[in-house]
Amino acid sequence: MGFSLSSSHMIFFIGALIVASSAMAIMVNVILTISTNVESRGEDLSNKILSDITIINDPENIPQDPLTIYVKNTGRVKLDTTLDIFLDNEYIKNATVTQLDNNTDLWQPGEIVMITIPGVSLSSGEHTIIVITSSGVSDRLVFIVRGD
Amino acid sequence: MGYSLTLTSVLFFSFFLFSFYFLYGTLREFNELTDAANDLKEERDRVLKNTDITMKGVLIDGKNLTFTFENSGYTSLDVDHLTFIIEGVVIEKENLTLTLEEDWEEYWQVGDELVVEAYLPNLSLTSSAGDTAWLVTPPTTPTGNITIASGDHIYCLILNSSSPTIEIFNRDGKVVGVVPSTLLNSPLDICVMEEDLLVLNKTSVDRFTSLGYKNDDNYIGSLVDAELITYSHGYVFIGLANGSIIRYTSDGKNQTYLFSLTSGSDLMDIYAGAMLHLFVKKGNFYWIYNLTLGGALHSKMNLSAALSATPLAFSYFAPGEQLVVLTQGNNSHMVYYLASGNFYSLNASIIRDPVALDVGDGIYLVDQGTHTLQKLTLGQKVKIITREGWEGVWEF
Repeated sequence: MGFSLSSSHMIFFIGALIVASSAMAIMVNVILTISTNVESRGEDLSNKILSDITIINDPENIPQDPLTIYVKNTGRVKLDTTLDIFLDNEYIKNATVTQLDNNTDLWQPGEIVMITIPGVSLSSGEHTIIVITSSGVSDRLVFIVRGD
Repeated sequence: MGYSLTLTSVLFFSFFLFSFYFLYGTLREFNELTDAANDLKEERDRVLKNTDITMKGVLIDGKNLTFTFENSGYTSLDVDHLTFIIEGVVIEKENLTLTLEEDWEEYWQVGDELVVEAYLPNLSLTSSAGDTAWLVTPPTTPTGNITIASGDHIYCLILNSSSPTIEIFNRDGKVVGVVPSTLLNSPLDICVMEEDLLVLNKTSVDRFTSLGYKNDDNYIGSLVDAELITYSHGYVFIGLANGSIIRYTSDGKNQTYLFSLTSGSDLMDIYAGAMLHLFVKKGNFYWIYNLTLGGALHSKMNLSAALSATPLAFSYFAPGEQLVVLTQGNNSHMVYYLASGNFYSLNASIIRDPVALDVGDGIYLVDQGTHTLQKLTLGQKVKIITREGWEGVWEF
C-alpha cells in the first residue's frame, strides 16, 4: 500500500514535471518570438522616425534630358538606394540612382543621390514627382516646366 | 500529490516571473529606442526651426563664383553637409571650397560668415549681360546726390534741395523706415557702424538706430568741412574737403590725422574694409589709393589707365576686397569689377543716370535718371540645403 502510494506520487510528480516542462518550452518559444518581434518592430519604428528624405531641386529649374532629380538624406540613419519613383502618378521603371558623394552601398545622412530618368518629355506646366524609400519614407515635389 | 502540485505551481510561477521580466525588459528597450528616436527627431525639428542663412555678397569671375553667407539663425550648422544648387544643378564637392570665418571651428557658428567658392565648368556665367531687378521708386524727386550704404538694411540718402531724407529699405526693396528731414542737419554722407547708421554733416556726425531713430546728436562734433564717412574694424574714417582723412575710435572720441592728399587732388569717395581705399581725382585722371587702417600708403592704381570710361563711383566686395567701379559713358554705363587681376564688366546700360553703387548680395545702384534704387543681377539663383533639410534660395 505504502509502495503504491509513493509510486502514484512519483507518477504524478513526473507527469506534473513533464506537463510543466512542455508548457514552459512552448511558452518560452512564444515569449521569445514575441520579444524578438517587439525588438525588431522597435528598431523599424526607430528607423522610420529617424528616416527622412528631401527632394532638393529648384522647382522652377529642373534639369531635363535626362530628367534629373536630386534627393538628400535629411534623416539620421543610413538608407539603401532602392527607391520607387512616381512621375505624375506613373511608376517609373527605368530610373537610375547614383550617389553623388560616395560609392558605398548605403546612402549616408546628409548625402545626395541623383535620379536620372531618360526618355521623358514633359509638357509645359505643373508636374509632380514622388520618391519613396524601401522603409516607406517619401517626399513629393511639384515642379514647373516652362514652355520655350 | 500535494508535493507535485506545489512543485508544479512553483515552476509555473518562476516561469511567469521570468517571462514578465523578459517581456518587461524587451518593452523597456522598445520604449527607450523609440524615445531616443523621438528625441533625435525633436532635435532635428529644433535645428530646422532655428536655421537661417543670409547671403551677404556674390562675385562672378568667369566660371568661378564667390558667395559670402552669414549664419543668421540661432543654431550652428554642419558645413560638411551643405548642398549648393546653382541654376538647377548640384555643385559637386570637388568644385566647392568652403572657408569659415573661424577656420578652426568644425561647425558654422551663429553670426559667422562662410565664403563659398564654386567652380562651374559647365555653366556659362560670363558677365556680358546684366539683368535689372527693380526695387523701389523713391516717392521724392532727388535733385542732388544720392548715397547708399548697405547693411542688413539698405540706406539711401536723398538730397533734395530743400528737404533731405534717408529712406531705409529691406533686402526685398520695401521701405521699412524713413528718417525725416526734421531729424537731419544738412547731411552729406552716410555709413553703417555695426547696428547703427551714421550721418555725416559738415561739422558733426549724428548716430541713428538701424531703423532711423535718432540715437545720439553730435556723436562726433567739431569737424571742419567734412564730406565723406566710412566705418570699419572699430574705426570711423572721415574725409575732409581739403583731402585729409581723420580716424575716430568707435566711441567717437579719440581722433587721429591719418593722411593728406597732395594739392591738386580731389577726394571723391572713401571706403574702409580690411584697408582704407580712397577714390581720388588728380587732373584728368582717377586713382584708387589703398592705405592701411593706420594711414600708411600701401599701393595706388590708376583707374583711368585701367578703364576706358570715366569712373563715377566705387565700392568693394568684401572677400578679398575686390574693387567694383561704376563708369559712365555716352548712354553706356558699365559696372566693372576686379577679379584675378583682370577687370570684368557688367552691362548697366539700362540704367539712365547712375550716381552711386554698393555691393552686397548684388550690385545696388542709385539711378538719378529714373529716381530708382536698382539691383543689378545676372538673373541666376543659388539654393542652399542644410543637412537637416532647411532650404534657402537667393537670386544674384
